[in-house]
Amino acid sequence: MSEEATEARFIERLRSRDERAFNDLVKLYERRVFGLLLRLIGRRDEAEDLAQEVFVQVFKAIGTFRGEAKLSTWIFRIAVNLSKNRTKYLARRRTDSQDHFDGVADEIPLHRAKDANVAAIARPDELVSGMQLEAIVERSIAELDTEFREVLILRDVEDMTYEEIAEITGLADGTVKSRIHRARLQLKQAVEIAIGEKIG
Amino acid sequence: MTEKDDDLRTHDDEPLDTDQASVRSILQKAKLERSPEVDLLQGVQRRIRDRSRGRFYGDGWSRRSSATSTYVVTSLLMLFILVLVYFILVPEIHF
Repeated sequence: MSEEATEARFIERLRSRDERAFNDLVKLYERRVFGLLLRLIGRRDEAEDLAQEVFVQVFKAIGTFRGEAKLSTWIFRIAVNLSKNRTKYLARRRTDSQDHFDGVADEIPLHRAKDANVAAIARPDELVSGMQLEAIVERSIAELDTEFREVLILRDVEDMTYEEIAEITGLADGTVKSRIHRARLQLKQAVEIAIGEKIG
Repeated sequence: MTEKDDDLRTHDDEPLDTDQASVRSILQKAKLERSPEVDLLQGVQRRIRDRSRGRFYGDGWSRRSSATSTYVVTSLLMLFILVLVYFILVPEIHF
């Protein structure tokens, strides 16, 4: 059976509210949806809560899914839309996402990462490695503007195509490309500030 | 085109300028964890059960990721009880 046919059959089971099929769907996508939301929101508790809400919305709305996009694209669109609402809600509550950011970047304080690596930089593209670099990049992504962070994560972390990103965000292809371009420049600037060296 | 040049292109065959390529290279080197560990199933099932007022995930059978093991365990348990009852009710079989 082809991949399309398998997905179509799976979607039919979901439409008929087959609970076991829905369990499979949650297990299949939970880590990617959670990972995306964790980076978009920056708080594990909020990301987990929202990820659960994404699947509840998927369960409710699966009857309206027409199969024009891939199922995964549709799920990510729901996740991105819910994250926008949650981000606005958290902003209204004056929640400082940086203070509460408890993603993987919190493991190593930024100033320690910088001190530990600047002296050893031989080439810009070999500046830091391992946990330090991951921490710096995670922190820098968290500091991006929301509209840039969203497309950058979808493109460079989730490895999605421009077309998929346009479908998920509802933006035009050109807007997606320009936002990704500007997001990378913002990220580059943030990483350079963090490590105290120019890259590229 | 070198192997490194290939790495700096994306699957859309997007040519990247130096700045863009260096950022992408940094992102690749950072090895960001794309899919962190999480278990959402129980929470999702609880929410759906509550909001559907027990219409879905309300029977207690489908709450696990696979109901197969539940059916197997229950079947074996029933079989054991039947065998036990049989031996109790038919004492002449005992040696």
